[in-house]
Amino acid sequence: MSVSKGVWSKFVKRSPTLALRNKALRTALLSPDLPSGPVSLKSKASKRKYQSIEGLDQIYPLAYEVLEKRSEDIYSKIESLDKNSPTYAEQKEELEIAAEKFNPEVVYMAEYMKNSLDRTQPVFRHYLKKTWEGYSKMLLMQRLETLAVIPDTLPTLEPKVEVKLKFPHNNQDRWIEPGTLLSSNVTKMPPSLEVIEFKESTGDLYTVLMVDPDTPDLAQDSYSTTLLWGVKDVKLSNTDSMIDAKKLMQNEDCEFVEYLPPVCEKNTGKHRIAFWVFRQDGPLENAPKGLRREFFKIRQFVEDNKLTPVGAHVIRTLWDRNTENVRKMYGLPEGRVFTRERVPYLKN
Amino acid sequence: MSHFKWGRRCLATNVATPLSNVQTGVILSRVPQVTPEVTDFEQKFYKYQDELERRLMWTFPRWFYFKKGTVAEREFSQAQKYPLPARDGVWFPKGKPEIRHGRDRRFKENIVLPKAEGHEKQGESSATQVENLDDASRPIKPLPRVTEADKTNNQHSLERKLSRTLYLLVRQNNMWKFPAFPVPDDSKPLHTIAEEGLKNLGGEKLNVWTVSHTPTALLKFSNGKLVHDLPQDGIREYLIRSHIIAGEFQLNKIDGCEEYKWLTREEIQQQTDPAYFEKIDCLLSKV
Amino acid sequence: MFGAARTVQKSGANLQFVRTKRIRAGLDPVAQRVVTQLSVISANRKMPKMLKLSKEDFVKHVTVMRAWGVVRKEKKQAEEAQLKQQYESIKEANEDLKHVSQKLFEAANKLEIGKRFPLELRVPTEYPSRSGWFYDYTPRKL
Repeated sequence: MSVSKGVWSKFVKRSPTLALRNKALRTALLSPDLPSGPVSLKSKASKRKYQSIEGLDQIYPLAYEVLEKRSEDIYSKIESLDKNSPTYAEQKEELEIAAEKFNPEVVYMAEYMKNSLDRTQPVFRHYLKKTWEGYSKMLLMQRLETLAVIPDTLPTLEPKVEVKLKFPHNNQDRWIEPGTLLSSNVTKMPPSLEVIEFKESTGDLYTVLMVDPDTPDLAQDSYSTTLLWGVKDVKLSNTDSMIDAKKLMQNEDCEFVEYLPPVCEKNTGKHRIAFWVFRQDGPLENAPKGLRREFFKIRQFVEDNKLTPVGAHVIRTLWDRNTENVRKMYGLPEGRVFTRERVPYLKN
Repeated sequence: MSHFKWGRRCLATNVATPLSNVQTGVILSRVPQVTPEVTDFEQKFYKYQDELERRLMWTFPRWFYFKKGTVAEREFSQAQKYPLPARDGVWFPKGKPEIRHGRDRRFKENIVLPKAEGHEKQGESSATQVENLDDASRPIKPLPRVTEADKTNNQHSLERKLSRTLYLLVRQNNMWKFPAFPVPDDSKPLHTIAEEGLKNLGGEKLNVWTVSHTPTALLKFSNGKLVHDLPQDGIREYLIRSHIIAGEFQLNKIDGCEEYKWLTREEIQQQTDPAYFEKIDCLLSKV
Repeated sequence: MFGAARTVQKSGANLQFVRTKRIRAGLDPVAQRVVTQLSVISANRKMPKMLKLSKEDFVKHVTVMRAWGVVRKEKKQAEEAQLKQQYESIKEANEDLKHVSQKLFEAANKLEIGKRFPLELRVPTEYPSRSGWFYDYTPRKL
C-alpha cells in the first residue's frame, strides 16, 4: 500500500530517475511500516534482529502527504512563472530543487547511492554540491594552500567543479585524495579525471594541464614549472564527465602535449604535481603545436587562451628505485643525483 | 501628545464637543476554557517523539524510589515483567538480550505500576462508587471536554465549545454583527461608552475586562451596509476588545438588538455577511 | 565503584571518600544516601543501546521531522500574517479617530501603566473545572 497519492508517484512531467529502481526498496520506503523487513540490511540475521521505532508507521503517511502537497504547490508555481523574465532559468531551477528536496526516494538516493545519480536533475546536483562543499572542497583547498600550489602555479582558485583523479592502469580503481604521495609505478601512465559540474551542462569544453612546479633550476638556484600533460577541447556534460584513455583515443586532437610521467630526481625532495581544470570560452584556436614544456609559464598560457580555472587537484611524487625504469620507458635521459653542497665555515 | 506644558496653567474646558454618526462596538469574547484540540498530525507526531524518548531513556532506578526490604519494593518488583536473560548455547533469533538493572538495553522499558488497594474494581462499579474527595490517591476522573451545551448546540450558552474562543454576536437592525452603541460626544472615552452600553444591553451580571482602550478596527456603514469610502452621512464604528470573565449575558432588547449568540470564528463566517466577515476576520482567533 | 567508598568524617557537608575494597557490611546511612543519589545521577549501567536505524527508517525519520518543520513554519507564518493584519486594522482605526476627535484619540492611546490580565481570567486546562462557568456574578457596589 503506497503512501504516495500525488505528484511523487506520477512521472508525466517528472523524470523517472527521481524514483527508486529497486522495487523491494521502493515498497519499503513508500509504505507506513516495513512489510518485508528492512531491505537495506542484507543478512537474514540482521533482518530478524531489527526493530523499527513504534509510532513511525502512524506519522509517516501524514508527513509524506504534507510534503507531497507542498511539492504540488511548488510545481504549480513553476507553471505560473514568467517565461520571458531574464531570471526564469534560475527561478525554475530553484523551485525544482525545492519541489523534490524532501522526497524520501530522492533523499535515499542522494544519501546512499551517490555514484549512480542522474546529474541532469537539479535536486541531485544540489545534494552532490552540498556533500562536496561539506568535505571534499574544503579538503582540496586546504591541500592546495598548505602545499602552496595556489600561489606557486596560479594565484588562487574558486572551485566550481569537483575534480576526481585516479590512475586506473594498475587495476587500482580508487579515487586519490589530494596531496597523496604516489610512487613512480602508479604515475607512469596517464590518469583518468572526473569533472563534476554542479550547474546544468550539456556541452562545455574543458582544458586540463598537469604541471610540476618543483623542477630544479640550477642556473637560478631555484625551481621552475614543467608542463607534463596538456589536454584541450574536451566536451563534457552532466551525463558524460570522465576524461579517460577511452575518450582521448576517440578524439585524437585533444591531447596537445603528450603525457610525460613525473620523474623526480634523487634528493630533490617531494615534487608537487598539480592538475588544473579550466573551462574554455570556445575551442582553443591558437593552441600552440610546438609548446615548450620546460620553464612553462602557466599564468601566461591561461591568459593567452582566455581560460577560467574551475577546479584543481594535486599529488606528490618522490624519487624511488623504479624512477629510472620509468625514465627508460619514456626514453628520457638518466636523472641527476643531487647532493648537499658543503660550504666551509668562515669564522670572523 | 499632551497640551499641557510644565509650569504653565491652562483653563480646563468641560465643554464636550458633539459628534455625529460615531459608534463604538464591542468584540466580547470568552477565552477558551480548555486546551486547544490537537490535530491528528500533531498527536501522531508527539506519540512518535514520546516513543523515541522512551526507547532512549535511562533505566528506572528503582533502588532509589523503593528501598530494599520494604513492602512497596516487593509489590513493585512483583508487578514488573522481567525480560528473558541471555544463556550460553541458546539461539536467540532476535538477538542476544543484554540486561542491566532488570532492563533489556535493546528496547524501551515498560514500567507497570502496581494497582493501589481499594481502586481495583474500577470498571465494575465506577458509577455507583461515591467519590471520597479526601482520598489523595483516588483515581483521577476528569470531566468530559464535550459539555451538554455542545450536544444540544445551545448557542446562548457560554459552556459550549470549551476549546474555542466564543464571540458575542447580536442581530442589530436586522444585521448579525458585534453590538454597537452611539457616541454622542467626546466627554467619555470610547471604551467607557462600550462598557456601559454592554452593561445596558446584557444586564448587570457581566464581569467584563477591556483588553485595551485603543480601538482595534474601524467599520464604515452607509445605509446599513459596509462600505470602503465613507459618504457624508455614513456611520463610523470603532471596535473595542473585551473578555467576559464571569456572569451571564441576558439580552435587553434595546438599541435595535433582537437576538444574541455566542459563536466561534467559523460559525460567525456562516452567520454574517461576507463583506462584514472579511473586515473582522483578522480580529478573530482560529483557536 | 561507588560501593568501594568509605567515609572518614561523618558530618554531612564534609564527607571525604576513600577508595577501599567493597564493604559488604554496608555504609553508614548518610554515606549510603549520597552513594545512592550519585548512582541515580550517573549513567552507569542505565543507558540503553544506541538506536541504529536502517537506511529506510532513517530516511523516514528525516521525512517526518522535515514535515513537522513545514507544518510549524506554515502555522507561524499564518500567525504572523494575522498579527500584521491586526496591526494595520488598529492603525487604520486610530488614524481615522485622530481626524474625528483629538480628545477621544488621546484617551484611546493613553498609556495604561500597570495594566495586567485580571486574576479571574481562567487559564485553559486539559479538562473543564467541576464548578464550571461562574454565572452568579454581582458587581461590587463601591
